[in-house]
Amino acid sequence: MSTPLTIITGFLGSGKTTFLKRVIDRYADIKKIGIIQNEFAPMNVDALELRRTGKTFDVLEINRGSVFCVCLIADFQSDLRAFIDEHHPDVVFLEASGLSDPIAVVEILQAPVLKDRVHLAKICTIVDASSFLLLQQANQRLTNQVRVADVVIVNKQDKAEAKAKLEEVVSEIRRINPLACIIPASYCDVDMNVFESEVQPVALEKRSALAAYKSPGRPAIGTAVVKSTRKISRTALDLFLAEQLPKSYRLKGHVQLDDATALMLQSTLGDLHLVPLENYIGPSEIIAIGPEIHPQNFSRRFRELATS
Amino acid sequence: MTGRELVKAAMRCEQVERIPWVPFVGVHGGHLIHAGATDYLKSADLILAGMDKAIELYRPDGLPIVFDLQIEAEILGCDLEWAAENPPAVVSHPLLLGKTLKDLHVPQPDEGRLAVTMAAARRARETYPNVALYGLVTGPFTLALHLLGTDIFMKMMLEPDAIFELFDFTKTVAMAMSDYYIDANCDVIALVDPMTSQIGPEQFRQFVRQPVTEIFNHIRKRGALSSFFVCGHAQQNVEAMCECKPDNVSVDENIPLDFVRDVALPKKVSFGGNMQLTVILLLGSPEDAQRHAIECMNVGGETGFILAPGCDLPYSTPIKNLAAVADVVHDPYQQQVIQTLETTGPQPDVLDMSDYGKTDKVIVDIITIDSEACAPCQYMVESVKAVTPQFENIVEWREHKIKHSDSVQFMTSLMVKNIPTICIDGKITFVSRIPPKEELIAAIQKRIYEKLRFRIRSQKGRLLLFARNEKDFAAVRTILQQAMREIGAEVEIVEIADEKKMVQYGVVNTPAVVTAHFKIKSEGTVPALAAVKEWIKEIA
Repeated sequence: MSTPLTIITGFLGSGKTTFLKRVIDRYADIKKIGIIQNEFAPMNVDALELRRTGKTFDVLEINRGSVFCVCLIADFQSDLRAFIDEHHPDVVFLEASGLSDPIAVVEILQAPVLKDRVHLAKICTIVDASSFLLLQQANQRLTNQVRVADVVIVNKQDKAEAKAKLEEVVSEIRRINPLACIIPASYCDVDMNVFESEVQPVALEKRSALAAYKSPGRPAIGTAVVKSTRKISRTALDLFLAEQLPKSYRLKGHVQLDDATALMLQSTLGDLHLVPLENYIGPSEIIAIGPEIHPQNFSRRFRELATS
Repeated sequence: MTGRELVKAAMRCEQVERIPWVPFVGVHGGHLIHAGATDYLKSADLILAGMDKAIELYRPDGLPIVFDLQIEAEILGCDLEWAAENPPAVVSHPLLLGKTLKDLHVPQPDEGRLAVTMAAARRARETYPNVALYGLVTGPFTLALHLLGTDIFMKMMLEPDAIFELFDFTKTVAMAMSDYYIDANCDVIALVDPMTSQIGPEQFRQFVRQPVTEIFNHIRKRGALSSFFVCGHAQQNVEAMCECKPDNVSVDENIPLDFVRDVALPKKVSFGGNMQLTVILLLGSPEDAQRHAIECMNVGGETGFILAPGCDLPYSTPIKNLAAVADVVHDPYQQQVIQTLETTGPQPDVLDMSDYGKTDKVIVDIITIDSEACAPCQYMVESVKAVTPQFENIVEWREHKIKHSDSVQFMTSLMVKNIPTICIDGKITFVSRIPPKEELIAAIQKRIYEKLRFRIRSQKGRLLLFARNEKDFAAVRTILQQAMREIGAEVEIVEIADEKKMVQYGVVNTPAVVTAHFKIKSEGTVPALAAVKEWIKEIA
């Protein structure tokens, strides 16, 4: 059986550890939780804070420092496999460094050693509403983290200055990622149901399929990512999606088209949403999650269909 | 041209005869010699042993001494957390812990792990005069992050003067580091500033451009070449990076190579990259790595391009993947093969070839790119063509050009991986090598004998019944069938009335029974049941 893994990302101080505490409070008594931490704060306060909750959960701390790029997290695959094999968690939450690229983390989930063990459930990005607009100007990565998120928690609504900026922050997030589920919150106090159901809305007739996906006896689920700097035509993209959607429970990402425009796409059980994405410079990145997803074929097929 | 000369020429945007290849072997060098990252980065002997192995296996034109952006930070008081398969990570930031810039000094070449790194650089220079050596220096932005932590981003917006001052210090450190590597006779100083991917072009021009430009000017004055390494989503900054006037920019898979080429070359800046680290080099197959290398080389071209991974190679990158890249870099013919296969289209389904090669004739298949367009293919086809007439129609040859998808299907089905290849009756016999005439004849003859043996063996269970009239046929047939029934064995009975064949088998009187081994068992009489049973036992 494959364990769902949710990536929690956000800048240092945005509230990732607070969010994890909420997760532990909500689930530790009913599920076996695995937490993976990859953020170096002085003295590793984060892990200490989590332990103070007094609940039972397993933690894997990975020494990848203030991870900047793909190269430093590549070896994380063997650590993750060992962690899952040892603890058999029902769910895993991975707290990624504020400077890391979530897509690079997802790429690791494709590793053959992790096959049938773990798949991507969601990417959740937490932003501090009081500093987001300012920090975002200085830090491009923050924008990238918002762009790839399924859920964006606009945190620190308890602060007056954050509350005042809420509308502006939400509209900026909406501009970067038109399809994300945006949740304003104080102390990351959000309805955890968001992390149990898939991206809304899901048509009623598809609920049963979704239930099968989420049931304990679900089949092995794979994660595939294509990251490509090749540009693709709209026709070729449609063909790619027509081939991949039937195999995918979920499919999401952003694509550079050959007419110099970009699209954001998201699909849950075949419900496809495509929206234009403004001002995106960067590679096409698509993630697919499903029982018949083969990482190498997925990536190869995209490359075949895209022009160089 | 030596590899070192190739790298230098490419760096200067000169056209080269072969695209240079620089695998960024950092802690992966430890993997090559079975040493952990922690020991590796602390020992000149181990670093050198790792470089030795990398040079032997990957035949690089250039190689970094180490890929570790924490050397300066450690000397400046950052605490490190070490790992078995990664460079160390910075876990504390002195400027956050009460220190000020005045408390910090420019690292000296004999301090901390610099002593080890420089010793390795000097020794590598002596040992490898023909390989371009890269000295990697932590970029001023990344070193500033190590010293101050992520507060740096807020400070960039709120206290820019403090950041200018900090960058001025980290710039001085980078210049000193460049000097040490140049003194050790390294050819290329690579300023590695992955933090560049975290900011936009405005911030880059405001904070990074000036110190970095000064560093590159300094390196130029010292007569060395410079490269600006970034990784991550830094496409927005490529133009501004080129404005800093490095000799070269090197990027990872997040930035399209054609984009970098089109921005850099007009500014007389060479470029490098951008092989995918995770999906291709770490998780892919050697074939994936080769295809990808060709793709990069096609975009990069022979002027001002260096083939390299996007960043530091992961510790456990499979050796075979990088060796496969080396093969393709050094062998233009292999490049042609892979390119042709790539343009032929997607891999078709594999055919069931289990019955292939069982016909009467011996079939020689030659898998080529196209014998009219590639010399090795042409020689291979000609060698086969020259020997087949002497087998007088027993041997047929066919050429399969992989430009056509049905030929690719045939090739894949026979599990042929290299081109050109000769298969005899479906069996891979000569791979990428034109066999001498005698060897080819011997291989074909061997197959003819095999087939002959097989045919004789398969005739084992046969009895030939010769007769000149139906009455004799019926009499012997009845006895043969009864014998088979009684001993529970089955053999084939072939009835022959042809006089010519009788002569061939030496039969004069009929009815006669002859085994497949040409032994006449009885002649001119209907054999006894007991005797027939014995014959059948012999041959069944």
